[in-house]
Amino acid sequence: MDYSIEDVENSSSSTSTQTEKTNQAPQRVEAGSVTKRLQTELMQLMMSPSPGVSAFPDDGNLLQWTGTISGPDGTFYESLTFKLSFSFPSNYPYSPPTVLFTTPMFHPNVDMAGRICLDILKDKWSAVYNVQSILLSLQSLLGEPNNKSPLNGQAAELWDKNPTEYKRLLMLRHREADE
Amino acid sequence: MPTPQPFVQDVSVASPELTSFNEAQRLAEMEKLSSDYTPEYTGPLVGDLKSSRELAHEYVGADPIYVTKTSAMYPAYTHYRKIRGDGNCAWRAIAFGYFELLLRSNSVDVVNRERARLRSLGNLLKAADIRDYLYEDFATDTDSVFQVISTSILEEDPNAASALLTQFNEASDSSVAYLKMLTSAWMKSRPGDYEAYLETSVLEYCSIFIEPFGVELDHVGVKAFIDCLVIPADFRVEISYLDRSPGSEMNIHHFESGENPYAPTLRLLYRPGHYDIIYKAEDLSELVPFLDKPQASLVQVSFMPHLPDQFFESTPLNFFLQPVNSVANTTTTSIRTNDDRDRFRASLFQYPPFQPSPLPFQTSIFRNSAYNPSHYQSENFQPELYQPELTDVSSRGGHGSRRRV
Repeated sequence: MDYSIEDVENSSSSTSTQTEKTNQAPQRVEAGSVTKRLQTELMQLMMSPSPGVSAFPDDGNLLQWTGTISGPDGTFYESLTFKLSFSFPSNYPYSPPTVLFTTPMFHPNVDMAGRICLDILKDKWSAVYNVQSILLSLQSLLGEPNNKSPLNGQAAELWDKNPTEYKRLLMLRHREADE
Repeated sequence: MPTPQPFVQDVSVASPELTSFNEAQRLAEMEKLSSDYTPEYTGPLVGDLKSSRELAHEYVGADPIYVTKTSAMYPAYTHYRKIRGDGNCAWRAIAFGYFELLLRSNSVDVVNRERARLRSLGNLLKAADIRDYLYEDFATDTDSVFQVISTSILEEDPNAASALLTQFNEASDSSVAYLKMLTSAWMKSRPGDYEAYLETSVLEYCSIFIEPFGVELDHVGVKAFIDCLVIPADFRVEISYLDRSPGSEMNIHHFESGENPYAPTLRLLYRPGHYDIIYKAEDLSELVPFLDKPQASLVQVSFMPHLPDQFFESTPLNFFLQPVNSVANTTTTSIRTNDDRDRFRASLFQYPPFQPSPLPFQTSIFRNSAYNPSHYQSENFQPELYQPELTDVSSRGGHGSRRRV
């Protein structure tokens, strides 16, 4: 785009600097858009925290976060806390982060490796979702599982049929995080 | 079938934990495979303008219906523009076509009007309770495309078309993300217009087909996007369907407000699962000179613009390699090579050595021929040899002088 150079003589200095700005802006945004977005999200989480959820980047890596969810009252998960890991892809927020439960979990939509089946982390992901909305969705998933397409069939079956056994197996697996 | 059923039940009863565990493992593995899969995309997000005859080449040897339809495209549609097939093609094609029509309007007023309209559409996002930090970067990048267009129009930039292409390719993902949000908010603000075409609610439809990035847009989505972005700008949209339906020409679907029959038209080519932009010759009447402008790559120098084209030779490289002084002192003859076709003169005022006409007597045929050095069509044209006719001035002077000047 050599036209900005060619036209310098003819155009006023203000328009030519405008042209330069607009030419450079997207490249700069492109390079740092992930970190800029994550920094903004972090600030939002700190400024207006939601009760029962939190998240913070791991040491020196903005693309890797650890999140915490408290089990909602009135569910099997009441008074338990769960840790999660967030890995953000380089094209975040066009693609969702990979979210795993790092605390051992017993839930119909979470498998033994901590992998989660949640539509907004897969095909329903869109750029309007963010760390906070993921945490809140997961928190509500703890109380309202989707038992129709379970990752953990046993948990899905026990959820309605045998709450006592469900709670026993949950507590058997659960390890409270050290930190 | 009474026999298989107990058998299936037997297995699940025997080891429900093992089955569900294996099933979960298998599902998780399959899910990982599918989520890690990314098809290989090639080419730019929005490609350069190409002749539509290339499309016909692509389909040589394909189904005869395709061959007939693609070869019938030219000359009705002279050009096309390839859009990368990454699931966002409909978004990119319509958005780029929209921006291109804005540039072609060549009116800063129109651009500013649209820029303001899109900004105010952003209020739909506020109304939908989406936090502004989630979309303001996308909005800024989209706005930068408007900025480039209005700057190009103001400065009458001859490279405006390529400046727009560059800018759009840089800001394309952001623009698509932003336009997705706007379209979703648009649909939710007038669900009655779309609900009848959907099997689910507008809310559910948007969350599956509009909002996620890289999801193919179906017909309802295309209509909503066009309703939101293109129609209010007083543009029309034509989608030509290149498929195996019978007929020798493509079926065309029109989207228009119907208020302005002369509205500029954005033309899309739809092949099942993919959108590209196509152009008629009249669509490009003003843009083509920009695009066809030759690149200043080959050094072609001539200081004698009145010579016929075939005498334009690129300046020999060793001419530029000579020290400046020697160039200044070089006489016309020393620059001249043995090659008789080399007509280079360092200056218009460096005449070849004076050569008196070898023939003392000139017939009028010779005088008016290209062999006469005083004739302007002569290879060795030398104006100083020009001598006005002395005889027969009264009858032929007018013609003669006009011919010779």
